[in-house]
Amino acid sequence: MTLIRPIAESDLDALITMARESGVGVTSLPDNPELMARKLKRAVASFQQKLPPEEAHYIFVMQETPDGPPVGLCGIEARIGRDEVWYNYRLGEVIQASETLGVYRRTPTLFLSNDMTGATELGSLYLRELSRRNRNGSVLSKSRYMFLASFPKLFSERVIAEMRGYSDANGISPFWEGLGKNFFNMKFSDADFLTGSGNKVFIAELMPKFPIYVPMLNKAAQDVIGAVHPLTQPALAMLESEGFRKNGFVDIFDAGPSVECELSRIDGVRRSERLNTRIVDRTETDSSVRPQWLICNERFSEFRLISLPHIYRDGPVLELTQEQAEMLRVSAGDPVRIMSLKPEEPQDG
Amino acid sequence: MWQVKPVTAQDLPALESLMNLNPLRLSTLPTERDQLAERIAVAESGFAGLDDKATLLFGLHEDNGNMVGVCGIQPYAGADEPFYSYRIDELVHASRHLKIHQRQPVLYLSHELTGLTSLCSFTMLEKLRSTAAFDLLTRSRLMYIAAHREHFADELICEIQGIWDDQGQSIFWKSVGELFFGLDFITADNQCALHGKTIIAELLPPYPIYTTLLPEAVRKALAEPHPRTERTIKWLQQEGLVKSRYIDPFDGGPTYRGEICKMNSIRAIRNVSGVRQQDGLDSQQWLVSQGHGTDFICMLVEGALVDDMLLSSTQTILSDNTPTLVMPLELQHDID
Repeated sequence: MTLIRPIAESDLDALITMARESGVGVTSLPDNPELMARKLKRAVASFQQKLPPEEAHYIFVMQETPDGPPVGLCGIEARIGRDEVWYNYRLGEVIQASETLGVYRRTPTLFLSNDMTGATELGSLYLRELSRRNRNGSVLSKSRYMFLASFPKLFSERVIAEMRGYSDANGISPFWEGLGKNFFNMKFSDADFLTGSGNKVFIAELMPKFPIYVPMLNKAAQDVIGAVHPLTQPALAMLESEGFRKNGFVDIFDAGPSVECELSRIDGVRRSERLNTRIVDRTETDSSVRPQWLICNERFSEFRLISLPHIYRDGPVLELTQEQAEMLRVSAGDPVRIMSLKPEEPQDG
Repeated sequence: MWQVKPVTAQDLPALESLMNLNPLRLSTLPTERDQLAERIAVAESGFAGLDDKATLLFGLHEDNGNMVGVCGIQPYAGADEPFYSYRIDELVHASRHLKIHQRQPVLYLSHELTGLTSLCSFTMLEKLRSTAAFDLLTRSRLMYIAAHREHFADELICEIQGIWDDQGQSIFWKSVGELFFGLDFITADNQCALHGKTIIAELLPPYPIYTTLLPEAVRKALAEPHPRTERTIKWLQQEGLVKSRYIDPFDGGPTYRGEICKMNSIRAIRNVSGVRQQDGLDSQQWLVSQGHGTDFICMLVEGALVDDMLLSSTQTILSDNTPTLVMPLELQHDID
């Protein structure tokens, strides 16, 4: 029975380890202990409501057992672009037309934009290699919908996720090679590191400010605009199955797509239901460990979420065993939220 | 003796054959007879003082009357429409934090040259290019400008043909214009000659272009003149014009620019009261012009300036009693 909870001060070592493991491309988890310590501090303060809600960055960790070590993490940035400028390219078009000349031409064009500022971002998803099993990835990813559903007022109605863009086996991003690199000599991995290290804004300021006509980029760069990294394909599919769609914005470094969905229209948010707790004495007989349900409490600072293969429901009441209730830190009569994981998807580990 | 005179309707057949002989097409003149006739009509109205912005066309004639060269002046570049160029500018992409400082060349679409006086439409028989007829035809325009100073701008530009390959294609166009038109250079160029450049230029991409994204061969060709224009460039430089930051938006060729009053030819012009035949005094060659508008004529005359008169041993058709402009064929490069 996996457990998801807010990150705590004591998780620093685990956080640093996971940041190191995640490698290039998971920009929000740079291999930089000092920076990760700052992130942790901010997340802890966010859960303790010591920050204004719009400055909050929530990080959750997953444990495979009630007392086990963190094996994965995921995050929610309440509002992007608040403390530094948030850049994307918007995929637009320029149209040239002349009846006299018989010309009608649509030219795809990248417009530098800050339009996603203020949106809520799902990010920082990482699951350690050995724990990529038993639908842990799905559980971790979708746990965020439960938090959003429980505290919608803390978030923007606009929820986005930025998908890692395509790069080859050597970590080379054709988009970076075709565009960004021309504007300063730096390898993508270096730029990516600087970005994650809080230098994103410095790098963004070196990027071209005027629109970029896509046909002026080399073919390899053109081909990967809006394409995701092969390892990110499952994550994209999962988001899409929950109602997220590409919104026409791409990352300025690797051209990875952004996906977006209104908070109240996220399938997981809509699937979720609020019930009341009843404690029952039951011995779990089902040997299946593959979870089908997420259950969370609605306590902000002590948010807890568990996954179960089955739930026992009696109308508006959810029956929990004492052990489950303890993990969820709820008592009889407390509200809980449930959400079905969708049927097994091919990407489920 | 060669004569330069305003092109008239009867020069149409000669103009048409000249245009078809020209190995380098002119983007400012069409090759079709009907369109040429239209251009001549416009030029005639300009010479007649009916249209201040009409592009003027001058013909170079041999003694037998054959027209063997043509050139033009656009008094007001763009006429009633914007005149398009790309300005080669730079943006500095710098970050003190990241210790990066890079200058990025950028092409900005510009109308700044609109309204300047532009020399254009120059072509002549190949065999004459290395003779004094080249100077006569080219600089006769300055004589015309000097004689009608108030009709022209203070600054002069001359757009030089850029790098075209043997098939007449421009690599600059291929990497820039063609992306937005789907037309190859020759087709676009023909459309320019047909409809004027503005209608095409209006379709150029409106946002600045980072040249770093262009292929290296194109970057190298920016503002580079076609090798065949060497003589024209040499002349422009002698006149004191300089390569500007502006390039042609179609083929990327350079635009030379300068103040008319500072041009060496213009500064060397003298006013005299006529040309008179008299033996024995010939000392040097002069460009000589008389008449206004439709009656303008410019010739090369060997002679000497005496008092207020150009004396020449050769009998010319020029008057000995009319305001006359003379300009030495050989220019001293630094007059002062």
